[in-house]
Amino acid sequence: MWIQILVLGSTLSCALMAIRAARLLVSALWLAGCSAFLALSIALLGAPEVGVVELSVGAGLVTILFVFAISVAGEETVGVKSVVPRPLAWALLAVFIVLMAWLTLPGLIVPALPKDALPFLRALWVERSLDTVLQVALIFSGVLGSLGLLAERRETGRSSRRAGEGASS
Amino acid sequence: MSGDIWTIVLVAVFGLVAIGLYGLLIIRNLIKVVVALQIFAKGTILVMVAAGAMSGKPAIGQSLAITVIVADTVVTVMALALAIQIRRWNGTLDTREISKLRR
Repeated sequence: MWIQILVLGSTLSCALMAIRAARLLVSALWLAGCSAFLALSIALLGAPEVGVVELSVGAGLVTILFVFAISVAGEETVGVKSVVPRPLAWALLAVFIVLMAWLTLPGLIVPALPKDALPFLRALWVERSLDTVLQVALIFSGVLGSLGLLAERRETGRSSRRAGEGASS
Repeated sequence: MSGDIWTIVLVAVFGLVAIGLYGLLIIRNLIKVVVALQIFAKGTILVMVAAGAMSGKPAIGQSLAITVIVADTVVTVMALALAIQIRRWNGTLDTREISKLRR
């Protein structure tokens, strides 16, 4: 129990530091720490498979993507003036937390785990096989989409010819 | 597991989602907006695992959590690629500057 509190507290502080950090790279590293602590917390909750996926994808792959994106786009410190006025942001946040607590906290009934509960691997590969197919399709569409977006624009024949004429004259 | 641990987990979920939402509301840097979105999604992943365990169907919650992790990663890839392209074409990552382009 105390380990869980410690791990969840570390997750929250890493998340807070990721938002507060001024430099983008530091923010990405705090996010990686948040992911790692979250993976540990999920494993402590009895779902080590999800923890491993979160650790490898959330703390590994996503961090590499962030570092790559920051190195390509460059560090840019944007002014502190926020999109929404800060009092309004705090008010919206308070409303959101109150609504979430109202909807979830009174219903805290923890039933014992039934003996014939569905095993995880059966649920993932058999019962939710459509989800798995969807994930594969999503991964491929993500890879293709990012390749399409990151690719340099190819010079058309006409424009390159025009550039050549300009250089010769 | 006792009910207390789920209360703690739910409080942590509130914290993660609140931090993510606050970041989405106030941050102007596009790459940092994606960081805030990631934190928001981490709260969702944790609540899926917890809700599955609380309702006595942990496997469904866990498989949905994995689906969320994958979908969130793809969204992050696309958002970062868009941010790079926006920076390349407009020279800035500031959401206010980008929104001025419409006028």
